[in-house]
Amino acid sequence: MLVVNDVSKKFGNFSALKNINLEFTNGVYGLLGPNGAGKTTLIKLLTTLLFPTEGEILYNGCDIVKLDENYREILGYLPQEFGYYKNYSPKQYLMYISALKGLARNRVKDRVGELLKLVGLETVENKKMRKFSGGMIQRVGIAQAMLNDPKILILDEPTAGLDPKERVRFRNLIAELSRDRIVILSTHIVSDIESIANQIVMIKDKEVLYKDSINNICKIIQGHVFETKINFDNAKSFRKHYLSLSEKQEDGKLIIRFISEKTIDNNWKVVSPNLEDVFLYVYKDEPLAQES
Amino acid sequence: MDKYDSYIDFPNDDVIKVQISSIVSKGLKPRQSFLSYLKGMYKLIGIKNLFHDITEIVFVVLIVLSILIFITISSKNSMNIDNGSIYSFIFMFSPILYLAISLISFINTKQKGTFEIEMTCKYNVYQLAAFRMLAFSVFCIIFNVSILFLVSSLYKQIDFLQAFMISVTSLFLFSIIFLYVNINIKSKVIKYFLLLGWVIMNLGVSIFSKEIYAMFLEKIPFYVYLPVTVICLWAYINNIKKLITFNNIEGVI
Repeated sequence: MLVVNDVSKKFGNFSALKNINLEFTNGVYGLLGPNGAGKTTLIKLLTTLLFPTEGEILYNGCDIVKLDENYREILGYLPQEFGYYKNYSPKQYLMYISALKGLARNRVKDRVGELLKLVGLETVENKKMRKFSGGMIQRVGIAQAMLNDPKILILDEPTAGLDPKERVRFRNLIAELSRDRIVILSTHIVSDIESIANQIVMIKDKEVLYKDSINNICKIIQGHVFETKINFDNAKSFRKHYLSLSEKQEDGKLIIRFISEKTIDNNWKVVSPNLEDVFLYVYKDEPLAQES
Repeated sequence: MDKYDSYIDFPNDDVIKVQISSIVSKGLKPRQSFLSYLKGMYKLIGIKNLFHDITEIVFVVLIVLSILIFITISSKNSMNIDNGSIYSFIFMFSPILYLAISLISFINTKQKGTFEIEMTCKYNVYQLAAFRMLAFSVFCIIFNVSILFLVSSLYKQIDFLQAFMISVTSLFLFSIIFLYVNINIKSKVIKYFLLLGWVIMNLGVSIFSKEIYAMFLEKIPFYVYLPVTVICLWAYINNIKKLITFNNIEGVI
Protein backbone atom coordinates (compact mmCIF):
# COMPACT_ATOMS: atom_id res chain seq x y z
CA MET A 1 0.00 0.00 0.00
CA LEU A 2 1.18 3.47 -0.87
CA VAL A 3 0.26 6.13 1.68
CA VAL A 4 0.68 9.88 1.34
CA ASN A 5 0.73 11.39 4.84
CA ASP A 6 0.13 15.13 5.26
CA VAL A 7 2.42 15.97 2.39
CA SER A 8 3.12 19.57 1.42
CA LYS A 9 5.55 20.82 -1.17
CA LYS A 10 6.93 24.32 -1.33
CA PHE A 11 9.30 25.92 -3.81
CA GLY A 12 10.63 28.87 -1.86
CA ASN A 13 7.56 30.81 -0.85
CA PHE A 14 5.37 29.19 -3.48
CA SER A 15 3.20 26.39 -2.20
CA ALA A 16 2.72 23.71 -4.89
CA LEU A 17 0.78 21.20 -2.76
CA LYS A 18 -0.85 21.49 0.65
CA ASN A 19 -1.68 18.78 3.21
CA ILE A 20 -2.16 15.89 0.83
CA ASN A 21 -3.48 12.69 2.40
CA LEU A 22 -4.05 9.71 0.12
CA GLU A 23 -4.01 5.92 0.17
CA PHE A 24 -3.44 3.72 -2.85
CA THR A 25 -4.02 -0.03 -3.04
CA ASN A 26 -4.06 -2.18 -6.21
CA GLY A 27 -6.23 -0.64 -8.90
CA VAL A 28 -6.38 2.33 -11.26
CA TYR A 29 -6.43 5.86 -9.83
CA GLY A 30 -7.17 8.79 -12.07
CA LEU A 31 -5.53 12.01 -11.03
CA LEU A 32 -7.67 14.83 -12.37
CA GLY A 33 -7.12 18.53 -12.37
CA PRO A 34 -6.52 21.40 -14.74
CA ASN A 35 -3.01 22.38 -15.74
CA GLY A 36 -1.19 23.95 -12.81
CA ALA A 37 -3.33 22.23 -10.16
CA GLY A 38 -0.36 20.29 -8.77
CA LYS A 39 -0.80 16.89 -10.48
CA THR A 40 2.72 16.76 -11.85
CA THR A 41 4.19 17.88 -8.50
CA LEU A 42 2.32 15.06 -6.76
CA ILE A 43 3.57 12.59 -9.35
CA LYS A 44 7.13 13.81 -8.93
CA LEU A 45 6.80 13.30 -5.19
CA LEU A 46 5.46 9.78 -5.73
CA THR A 47 8.39 8.98 -8.01
CA THR A 48 10.98 10.50 -5.59
CA LEU A 49 12.00 13.08 -8.17
CA LEU A 50 10.98 15.64 -5.55
CA PHE A 51 11.04 15.25 -1.78
CA PRO A 52 8.16 16.52 0.39
CA THR A 53 8.76 19.74 2.31
CA GLU A 54 6.46 18.38 5.01
CA GLY A 55 4.95 14.94 5.59
CA GLU A 56 5.99 11.58 4.22
CA ILE A 57 5.09 9.01 1.57
CA LEU A 58 5.16 5.40 2.74
CA TYR A 59 5.23 2.19 0.73
CA ASN A 60 4.27 -0.78 2.91
CA GLY A 61 5.14 1.33 5.94
CA CYS A 62 8.58 2.51 4.77
CA ASP A 63 9.46 6.01 3.63
CA ILE A 64 9.95 5.88 -0.14
CA VAL A 65 12.88 8.32 -0.01
CA LYS A 66 14.66 6.08 2.46
CA LEU A 67 13.79 2.95 0.50
CA ASP A 68 15.81 4.55 -2.30
CA GLU A 69 16.70 2.00 -5.02
CA ASN A 70 14.50 -0.65 -3.41
CA TYR A 71 11.55 1.63 -4.17
CA ARG A 72 12.74 2.51 -7.66
CA GLU A 73 13.04 -1.23 -8.37
CA ILE A 74 9.25 -1.61 -8.12
CA LEU A 75 8.42 1.67 -9.85
CA GLY A 76 7.46 2.28 -13.47
CA TYR A 77 7.16 5.87 -14.60
CA LEU A 78 6.21 7.67 -17.78
CA PRO A 79 6.82 11.42 -17.47
CA GLN A 80 4.75 14.05 -19.19
CA GLU A 81 7.62 14.96 -21.48
CA PHE A 82 9.14 11.70 -22.47
CA GLY A 83 12.75 12.08 -23.54
CA TYR A 84 14.58 9.51 -25.63
CA TYR A 85 17.79 9.13 -27.58
CA LYS A 86 16.87 9.88 -31.19
CA ASN A 87 19.54 7.64 -32.66
CA TYR A 88 18.35 4.63 -30.73
CA SER A 89 15.88 2.09 -32.02
CA PRO A 90 13.08 1.20 -29.56
CA LYS A 91 14.81 -2.12 -28.96
CA GLN A 92 18.14 -0.44 -28.13
CA TYR A 93 16.42 2.10 -25.93
CA LEU A 94 14.46 -0.52 -23.99
CA MET A 95 17.61 -2.64 -23.57
CA TYR A 96 19.39 0.42 -22.14
CA ILE A 97 16.59 1.25 -19.70
CA SER A 98 16.37 -2.44 -18.69
CA ALA A 99 20.04 -2.27 -17.72
CA LEU A 100 19.42 0.83 -15.59
CA LYS A 101 16.45 -0.90 -14.00
CA GLY A 102 18.80 -3.73 -13.05
CA LEU A 103 16.95 -6.45 -14.94
CA ALA A 104 18.84 -9.75 -15.19
CA ARG A 105 20.61 -9.74 -18.55
CA ASN A 106 19.36 -13.17 -19.62
CA ARG A 107 15.75 -12.01 -19.23
CA VAL A 108 16.06 -8.64 -20.94
CA LYS A 109 15.82 -9.73 -24.59
CA ASP A 110 12.62 -11.71 -24.06
CA ARG A 111 11.03 -8.99 -21.93
CA VAL A 112 11.83 -6.28 -24.48
CA GLY A 113 10.42 -8.41 -27.32
CA GLU A 114 7.30 -9.13 -25.27
CA LEU A 115 6.66 -5.45 -24.55
CA LEU A 116 7.35 -4.29 -28.09
CA LYS A 117 4.72 -6.75 -29.22
CA LEU A 118 2.33 -5.59 -26.53
CA VAL A 119 2.55 -1.95 -27.67
CA GLY A 120 2.48 -2.93 -31.33
CA LEU A 121 5.99 -1.84 -32.27
CA GLU A 122 7.53 -5.25 -33.04
CA THR A 123 7.70 -4.50 -36.78
CA VAL A 124 9.74 -1.32 -36.24
CA GLU A 125 11.87 -2.53 -33.34
CA ASN A 126 15.13 -1.79 -35.18
CA LYS A 127 14.12 1.52 -36.78
CA LYS A 128 15.61 4.72 -35.37
CA MET A 129 13.20 6.58 -33.13
CA ARG A 130 13.89 9.93 -34.81
CA LYS A 131 11.48 8.81 -37.55
CA PHE A 132 8.69 7.88 -35.15
CA SER A 133 5.36 9.70 -34.78
CA GLY A 134 4.28 11.13 -31.40
CA GLY A 135 2.00 8.15 -30.80
CA MET A 136 4.79 5.66 -31.49
CA ILE A 137 7.16 7.47 -29.13
CA GLN A 138 4.47 7.45 -26.46
CA ARG A 139 4.10 3.69 -26.91
CA VAL A 140 7.85 3.26 -26.39
CA GLY A 141 7.39 5.33 -23.22
CA ILE A 142 4.62 3.07 -21.98
CA ALA A 143 6.77 0.00 -22.73
CA GLN A 144 9.77 1.35 -20.81
CA ALA A 145 7.57 2.04 -17.78
CA MET A 146 6.50 -1.60 -17.71
CA LEU A 147 9.93 -3.18 -18.24
CA ASN A 148 10.45 -4.16 -14.62
CA ASP A 149 6.85 -5.37 -14.18
CA PRO A 150 6.38 -2.59 -11.59
CA LYS A 151 4.21 -2.81 -8.51
CA ILE A 152 3.55 0.92 -8.84
CA LEU A 153 2.95 2.28 -12.32
CA ILE A 154 2.75 6.07 -12.61
CA LEU A 155 1.81 7.59 -15.92
CA ASP A 156 1.69 11.35 -16.50
CA GLU A 157 -0.54 12.22 -19.47
CA PRO A 158 0.00 8.78 -21.05
CA THR A 159 -2.51 9.13 -23.87
CA ALA A 160 -1.14 12.37 -25.30
CA GLY A 161 -0.52 11.81 -28.99
CA LEU A 162 -2.27 8.46 -29.20
CA ASP A 163 -4.94 7.94 -31.87
CA PRO A 164 -8.40 6.58 -30.84
CA LYS A 165 -7.43 2.97 -31.63
CA GLU A 166 -4.24 3.25 -29.60
CA ARG A 167 -6.21 4.86 -26.76
CA VAL A 168 -8.60 1.92 -26.56
CA ARG A 169 -5.69 -0.51 -26.67
CA PHE A 170 -3.96 1.43 -23.91
CA ARG A 171 -7.06 1.50 -21.71
CA ASN A 172 -7.51 -2.27 -22.04
CA LEU A 173 -3.88 -2.80 -21.22
CA ILE A 174 -4.09 -0.67 -18.08
CA ALA A 175 -7.29 -2.37 -16.93
CA GLU A 176 -5.55 -5.74 -17.32
CA LEU A 177 -2.38 -4.58 -15.53
CA SER A 178 -4.18 -3.00 -12.59
CA ARG A 179 -5.30 -6.33 -11.14
CA ASP A 180 -2.10 -6.76 -9.18
CA ARG A 181 -0.55 -3.32 -8.98
CA ILE A 182 -1.17 0.33 -8.25
CA VAL A 183 -1.68 2.34 -11.41
CA ILE A 184 -1.80 6.13 -11.08
CA LEU A 185 -2.81 7.99 -14.19
CA SER A 186 -2.64 11.73 -14.41
CA THR A 187 -4.62 13.41 -17.13
CA HIS A 188 -6.98 16.19 -17.96
CA ILE A 189 -8.63 14.10 -20.65
CA VAL A 190 -11.55 12.81 -18.62
CA SER A 191 -12.67 10.14 -21.10
CA ASP A 192 -9.31 8.38 -20.76
CA ILE A 193 -9.95 7.42 -17.18
CA GLU A 194 -13.72 7.36 -16.99
CA SER A 195 -13.96 3.76 -18.11
CA ILE A 196 -10.97 2.29 -16.29
CA ALA A 197 -10.33 4.19 -13.04
CA ASN A 198 -11.53 2.61 -9.81
CA GLN A 199 -11.09 5.90 -8.01
CA ILE A 200 -10.66 9.50 -9.00
CA VAL A 201 -8.46 11.95 -7.15
CA MET A 202 -9.41 15.54 -7.92
CA ILE A 203 -6.97 18.26 -7.04
CA LYS A 204 -7.99 21.87 -6.70
CA ASP A 205 -6.07 24.83 -5.30
CA LYS A 206 -3.10 22.56 -4.42
CA GLU A 207 -5.29 20.34 -2.23
CA VAL A 208 -7.18 17.07 -2.68
CA LEU A 209 -10.79 17.99 -3.29
CA TYR A 210 -12.25 14.50 -3.80
CA LYS A 211 -10.97 10.96 -3.69
CA ASP A 212 -13.81 8.65 -4.50
CA SER A 213 -15.34 6.31 -7.07
CA ILE A 214 -16.71 7.86 -10.28
CA ASN A 215 -20.28 7.08 -9.20
CA ASN A 216 -19.93 8.89 -5.90
CA ILE A 217 -18.17 11.84 -7.47
CA CYS A 218 -20.94 12.17 -10.04
CA LYS A 219 -23.50 12.31 -7.23
CA ILE A 220 -22.16 15.78 -6.36
CA ILE A 221 -24.19 17.25 -9.21
CA GLN A 222 -26.89 14.58 -9.45
CA GLY A 223 -30.22 16.20 -10.38
CA HIS A 224 -28.59 19.44 -11.46
CA VAL A 225 -27.55 18.50 -14.97
CA PHE A 226 -30.11 19.26 -17.67
CA GLU A 227 -30.48 19.27 -21.39
CA THR A 228 -32.73 21.54 -23.41
CA LYS A 229 -33.24 22.88 -26.91
CA ILE A 230 -32.95 26.63 -27.39
CA ASN A 231 -32.78 29.10 -30.25
CA PHE A 232 -29.32 30.23 -31.26
CA ASP A 233 -30.31 33.82 -30.52
CA ASN A 234 -30.91 32.99 -26.87
CA ALA A 235 -27.64 31.08 -26.42
CA LYS A 236 -25.60 34.05 -25.24
CA SER A 237 -27.96 35.10 -22.48
CA PHE A 238 -28.55 31.45 -21.50
CA ARG A 239 -24.82 30.91 -21.00
CA LYS A 240 -24.74 33.99 -18.76
CA HIS A 241 -27.18 32.37 -16.35
CA TYR A 242 -26.15 28.73 -16.49
CA LEU A 243 -22.90 26.84 -16.77
CA SER A 244 -22.89 25.27 -20.23
CA LEU A 245 -21.29 21.80 -20.28
CA SER A 246 -21.70 20.88 -23.94
CA GLU A 247 -23.54 22.14 -26.96
CA LYS A 248 -24.53 20.69 -30.31
CA GLN A 249 -26.64 21.83 -33.21
CA GLU A 250 -29.76 19.91 -34.27
CA ASP A 251 -32.58 20.93 -36.62
CA GLY A 252 -31.52 24.55 -36.57
CA LYS A 253 -31.64 24.67 -32.78
CA LEU A 254 -29.02 24.35 -30.10
CA ILE A 255 -29.09 21.38 -27.75
CA ILE A 256 -27.38 22.56 -24.62
CA ARG A 257 -26.26 20.51 -21.61
CA PHE A 258 -25.91 22.67 -18.54
CA ILE A 259 -26.00 22.90 -14.77
CA SER A 260 -28.69 24.59 -12.75
CA GLU A 261 -29.43 24.52 -9.05
CA LYS A 262 -33.20 24.23 -9.64
CA THR A 263 -35.54 23.12 -12.43
CA ILE A 264 -36.93 26.35 -13.75
CA ASP A 265 -38.40 25.27 -17.07
CA ASN A 266 -40.52 22.19 -17.72
CA ASN A 267 -38.82 21.68 -21.07
CA TRP A 268 -35.57 20.93 -19.32
CA LYS A 269 -34.72 17.27 -19.18
CA VAL A 270 -32.74 15.96 -16.21
CA VAL A 271 -29.81 13.85 -17.39
CA SER A 272 -27.28 11.68 -15.55
CA PRO A 273 -24.09 13.55 -14.84
CA ASN A 274 -20.78 12.15 -16.06
CA LEU A 275 -17.24 12.79 -14.88
CA GLU A 276 -16.63 15.46 -17.48
CA ASP A 277 -19.65 17.40 -16.17
CA VAL A 278 -18.23 17.25 -12.65
CA PHE A 279 -14.82 18.30 -13.95
CA LEU A 280 -16.28 21.35 -15.73
CA TYR A 281 -18.38 22.21 -12.70
CA VAL A 282 -15.58 21.84 -10.15
CA TYR A 283 -13.02 23.77 -12.17
CA LYS A 284 -15.40 26.38 -13.60
CA ASP A 285 -13.48 29.25 -12.02
CA GLU A 286 -10.02 28.04 -13.07
CA PRO A 287 -8.23 30.14 -15.66
CA LEU A 288 -7.67 28.45 -19.02
CA ALA A 289 -4.38 26.98 -20.22
CA GLN A 290 -2.25 27.70 -17.20
CA GLU A 291 0.63 25.34 -17.79
CA SER A 292 2.13 23.54 -14.82
CA MET B 1 -1.49 -19.12 41.66
CA ASP B 2 -4.88 -18.19 40.26
CA LYS B 3 -6.28 -21.13 38.26
CA TYR B 4 -7.10 -18.79 35.36
CA ASP B 5 -3.55 -17.50 35.08
CA SER B 6 -1.76 -19.31 32.32
CA TYR B 7 1.89 -20.13 32.70
CA ILE B 8 4.14 -18.91 29.89
CA ASP B 9 7.49 -20.55 29.67
CA PHE B 10 10.12 -17.79 29.47
CA PRO B 11 12.76 -18.63 26.88
CA ASN B 12 16.36 -18.86 28.01
CA ASP B 13 19.12 -16.52 26.83
CA ASP B 14 20.24 -18.81 24.01
CA VAL B 15 16.75 -19.04 22.53
CA ILE B 16 16.35 -15.25 22.84
CA LYS B 17 19.66 -14.73 21.03
CA VAL B 18 18.71 -17.12 18.21
CA GLN B 19 15.29 -15.47 17.83
CA ILE B 20 16.76 -11.96 17.81
CA SER B 21 19.37 -12.85 15.21
CA SER B 22 16.76 -14.55 13.02
CA ILE B 23 14.53 -11.42 13.19
CA VAL B 24 17.46 -9.12 12.48
CA SER B 25 18.67 -11.23 9.54
CA LYS B 26 15.19 -11.23 8.03
CA GLY B 27 14.63 -7.53 8.64
CA LEU B 28 18.02 -6.15 7.73
CA LYS B 29 19.58 -6.70 4.38
CA PRO B 30 23.29 -7.49 4.62
CA ARG B 31 25.37 -4.41 3.96
CA GLN B 32 27.19 -4.60 0.70
CA SER B 33 30.75 -3.44 0.46
CA PHE B 34 31.45 -0.64 -2.00
CA LEU B 35 33.44 -2.97 -4.22
CA SER B 36 30.77 -5.66 -4.34
CA TYR B 37 28.16 -2.96 -5.04
CA LEU B 38 30.21 -1.76 -8.00
CA LYS B 39 30.71 -5.34 -9.19
CA GLY B 40 26.98 -6.02 -9.01
CA MET B 41 26.25 -2.80 -10.85
CA TYR B 42 28.77 -3.60 -13.56
CA LYS B 43 27.35 -7.10 -13.93
CA LEU B 44 23.78 -5.86 -14.38
CA ILE B 45 24.46 -2.79 -16.48
CA GLY B 46 27.39 -3.93 -18.59
CA ILE B 47 30.14 -1.91 -20.22
CA LYS B 48 28.08 -1.16 -23.33
CA ASN B 49 25.31 0.55 -21.38
CA LEU B 50 27.63 2.23 -18.91
CA PHE B 51 29.35 4.02 -21.77
CA HIS B 52 26.38 4.27 -24.09
CA ASP B 53 27.47 7.74 -25.19
CA ILE B 54 30.94 6.55 -26.16
CA THR B 55 30.85 8.49 -29.48
CA GLU B 56 30.43 11.80 -27.63
CA ILE B 57 33.14 10.82 -25.12
CA VAL B 58 35.62 9.96 -27.89
CA PHE B 59 34.79 13.25 -29.57
CA VAL B 60 35.48 15.25 -26.39
CA VAL B 61 38.70 13.32 -25.74
CA LEU B 62 39.91 14.11 -29.27
CA ILE B 63 39.11 17.81 -28.86
CA VAL B 64 40.92 18.05 -25.50
CA LEU B 65 43.83 16.02 -26.89
CA SER B 66 44.24 18.27 -29.91
CA ILE B 67 44.06 21.42 -27.74
CA LEU B 68 46.68 20.08 -25.34
CA ILE B 69 48.99 18.95 -28.14
CA PHE B 70 48.57 22.33 -29.82
CA ILE B 71 49.42 24.21 -26.60
CA THR B 72 52.39 21.91 -25.88
CA ILE B 73 53.88 22.29 -29.35
CA SER B 74 53.20 26.00 -29.73
CA SER B 75 54.66 26.83 -26.31
CA LYS B 76 57.80 24.89 -27.28
CA ASN B 77 58.42 27.63 -29.84
CA SER B 78 58.06 30.29 -27.18
CA MET B 79 61.44 31.30 -25.80
CA ASN B 80 60.70 32.27 -22.24
CA ILE B 81 59.09 29.13 -20.96
CA ASP B 82 60.25 27.88 -17.58
CA ASN B 83 59.68 24.84 -15.43
CA GLY B 84 57.31 26.71 -13.12
CA SER B 85 54.92 27.57 -15.93
CA ILE B 86 54.89 23.99 -17.18
CA TYR B 87 54.14 22.59 -13.73
CA SER B 88 51.42 25.21 -13.23
CA PHE B 89 50.00 24.26 -16.58
CA ILE B 90 49.99 20.57 -15.63
CA PHE B 91 48.34 21.30 -12.25
CA MET B 92 45.71 23.53 -13.80
CA PHE B 93 44.74 21.46 -16.81
CA SER B 94 45.09 17.86 -15.60
CA PRO B 95 41.45 17.68 -14.45
CA ILE B 96 39.98 19.40 -17.51
CA LEU B 97 39.44 16.22 -19.52
CA TYR B 98 37.91 14.61 -16.46
CA LEU B 99 35.54 17.53 -16.04
CA ALA B 100 34.61 17.51 -19.73
CA ILE B 101 33.77 13.81 -19.96
CA SER B 102 32.05 13.72 -16.58
CA LEU B 103 29.81 16.62 -17.52
CA ILE B 104 28.94 15.27 -20.94
CA SER B 105 26.66 12.51 -19.65
CA PHE B 106 24.82 14.94 -17.35
CA ILE B 107 24.37 17.41 -20.17
CA ASN B 108 23.28 14.61 -22.51
CA THR B 109 20.58 13.26 -20.21
CA LYS B 110 19.36 16.77 -19.34
CA GLN B 111 19.23 17.91 -22.97
CA LYS B 112 17.51 14.82 -24.28
CA GLY B 113 14.92 14.91 -21.51
CA THR B 114 15.74 11.39 -20.36
CA PHE B 115 16.80 12.65 -16.93
CA GLU B 116 13.46 11.98 -15.25
CA ILE B 117 13.19 8.41 -16.49
CA GLU B 118 16.80 7.63 -15.66
CA MET B 119 16.41 9.16 -12.20
CA THR B 120 13.56 6.76 -11.40
CA CYS B 121 15.48 3.64 -12.44
CA LYS B 122 17.13 1.33 -9.90
CA TYR B 123 20.52 2.73 -10.90
CA ASN B 124 19.85 6.42 -11.27
CA VAL B 125 21.82 9.14 -13.03
CA TYR B 126 23.99 9.87 -9.98
CA GLN B 127 24.90 6.25 -9.35
CA LEU B 128 25.74 5.77 -12.99
CA ALA B 129 27.73 9.00 -13.01
CA ALA B 130 29.70 7.91 -9.94
CA PHE B 131 30.64 4.64 -11.58
CA ARG B 132 31.63 6.38 -14.77
CA MET B 133 33.65 8.98 -12.86
CA LEU B 134 35.63 6.21 -11.26
CA ALA B 135 36.35 4.73 -14.68
CA PHE B 136 37.10 8.18 -16.11
CA SER B 137 39.58 8.99 -13.36
CA VAL B 138 41.54 5.84 -14.24
CA PHE B 139 41.35 6.75 -17.91
CA CYS B 140 42.41 10.34 -17.18
CA ILE B 141 45.46 9.16 -15.25
CA ILE B 142 46.52 7.08 -18.28
CA PHE B 143 45.75 9.98 -20.60
CA ASN B 144 47.68 12.47 -18.46
CA VAL B 145 50.65 10.12 -18.20
CA SER B 146 50.78 9.89 -22.00
CA ILE B 147 50.62 13.68 -22.34
CA LEU B 148 53.27 14.09 -19.64
CA PHE B 149 55.46 11.63 -21.48
CA LEU B 150 55.18 13.83 -24.55
CA VAL B 151 55.87 17.01 -22.55
CA SER B 152 58.87 15.56 -20.70
CA SER B 153 60.36 14.35 -23.97
CA LEU B 154 60.02 17.86 -25.39
CA TYR B 155 61.28 19.66 -22.27
CA LYS B 156 64.23 17.74 -20.94
CA GLN B 157 64.30 19.82 -17.74
CA ILE B 158 60.94 18.41 -16.64
CA ASP B 159 61.07 15.63 -14.07
CA PHE B 160 58.50 13.06 -15.22
CA LEU B 161 57.84 11.68 -11.74
CA GLN B 162 57.32 15.16 -10.28
CA ALA B 163 55.01 16.05 -13.16
CA PHE B 164 53.10 12.80 -12.71
CA MET B 165 52.55 13.44 -8.99
CA ILE B 166 51.41 17.00 -9.68
CA SER B 167 49.01 15.75 -12.33
CA VAL B 168 47.51 12.96 -10.19
CA THR B 169 47.18 15.18 -7.11
CA SER B 170 45.54 17.88 -9.17
CA LEU B 171 43.13 15.39 -10.74
CA PHE B 172 41.98 13.98 -7.42
CA LEU B 173 41.90 17.34 -5.67
CA PHE B 174 39.69 18.70 -8.42
CA SER B 175 37.53 15.54 -8.42
CA ILE B 176 36.91 15.96 -4.69
CA ILE B 177 35.77 19.56 -5.23
CA PHE B 178 33.68 18.47 -8.23
CA LEU B 179 31.92 15.72 -6.27
CA TYR B 180 31.45 17.90 -3.19
CA VAL B 181 29.86 20.61 -5.29
CA ASN B 182 27.60 18.10 -7.06
CA ILE B 183 26.40 16.44 -3.87
CA ASN B 184 26.12 19.36 -1.49
CA ILE B 185 25.49 22.52 -3.45
CA LYS B 186 22.11 23.13 -5.02
CA SER B 187 22.58 26.55 -6.58
CA LYS B 188 23.64 26.22 -10.22
CA VAL B 189 25.42 29.58 -10.18
CA ILE B 190 27.60 28.58 -7.21
CA LYS B 191 28.26 25.19 -8.88
CA TYR B 192 29.55 26.77 -12.08
CA PHE B 193 31.43 29.43 -10.14
CA LEU B 194 33.23 26.85 -8.00
CA LEU B 195 34.13 24.68 -10.99
CA LEU B 196 35.34 27.60 -13.09
CA GLY B 197 36.98 28.88 -9.93
CA TRP B 198 39.55 26.08 -10.19
CA VAL B 199 41.04 27.51 -13.37
CA ILE B 200 40.55 31.15 -12.35
CA MET B 201 42.08 30.66 -8.90
CA ASN B 202 45.06 28.72 -10.20
CA LEU B 203 45.60 31.16 -13.01
CA GLY B 204 45.33 34.08 -10.60
CA VAL B 205 47.79 32.61 -8.11
CA SER B 206 50.24 31.60 -10.84
CA ILE B 207 50.23 35.14 -12.26
CA PHE B 208 50.19 37.23 -9.08
CA SER B 209 52.50 35.20 -6.88
CA LYS B 210 54.36 33.19 -9.43
CA GLU B 211 57.24 32.35 -7.09
CA ILE B 212 55.12 30.93 -4.30
CA TYR B 213 52.98 28.98 -6.73
CA ALA B 214 55.99 27.57 -8.59
CA MET B 215 57.72 26.78 -5.30
CA PHE B 216 54.58 25.05 -4.06
CA LEU B 217 54.49 22.83 -7.12
CA GLU B 218 58.21 22.40 -7.80
CA LYS B 219 59.90 22.33 -4.44
CA ILE B 220 57.56 20.02 -2.57
CA PRO B 221 59.45 16.74 -2.41
CA PHE B 222 58.13 13.44 -3.62
CA TYR B 223 57.67 12.04 -0.10
CA VAL B 224 55.31 14.89 0.72
CA TYR B 225 53.41 14.58 -2.54
CA LEU B 226 52.82 10.87 -2.08
CA PRO B 227 50.82 11.07 1.18
CA VAL B 228 48.94 14.11 -0.15
CA THR B 229 48.00 12.12 -3.25
CA VAL B 230 46.99 9.10 -1.16
CA ILE B 231 44.80 11.29 1.09
CA CYS B 232 43.21 12.89 -1.97
CA LEU B 233 42.56 9.44 -3.45
CA TRP B 234 40.97 8.27 -0.19
CA ALA B 235 38.78 11.36 0.00
CA TYR B 236 37.83 10.89 -3.66
CA ILE B 237 36.72 7.28 -3.17
CA ASN B 238 34.74 8.34 -0.11
CA ASN B 239 32.97 11.03 -2.11
CA ILE B 240 32.21 8.59 -4.91
CA LYS B 241 30.68 6.26 -2.29
CA LYS B 242 28.58 9.16 -1.05
CA LEU B 243 27.37 9.92 -4.55
CA ILE B 244 26.27 6.32 -4.98
CA THR B 245 24.46 6.11 -1.66
CA PHE B 246 23.72 9.74 -0.90
CA ASN B 247 20.00 9.09 -0.83
CA ASN B 248 20.32 6.03 1.37
CA ILE B 249 19.99 5.52 5.06
CA GLU B 250 21.40 2.53 6.84
CA GLY B 251 19.22 -0.49 7.49
CA VAL B 252 15.47 -0.79 7.12
CA ILE B 253 14.33 -0.09 10.68
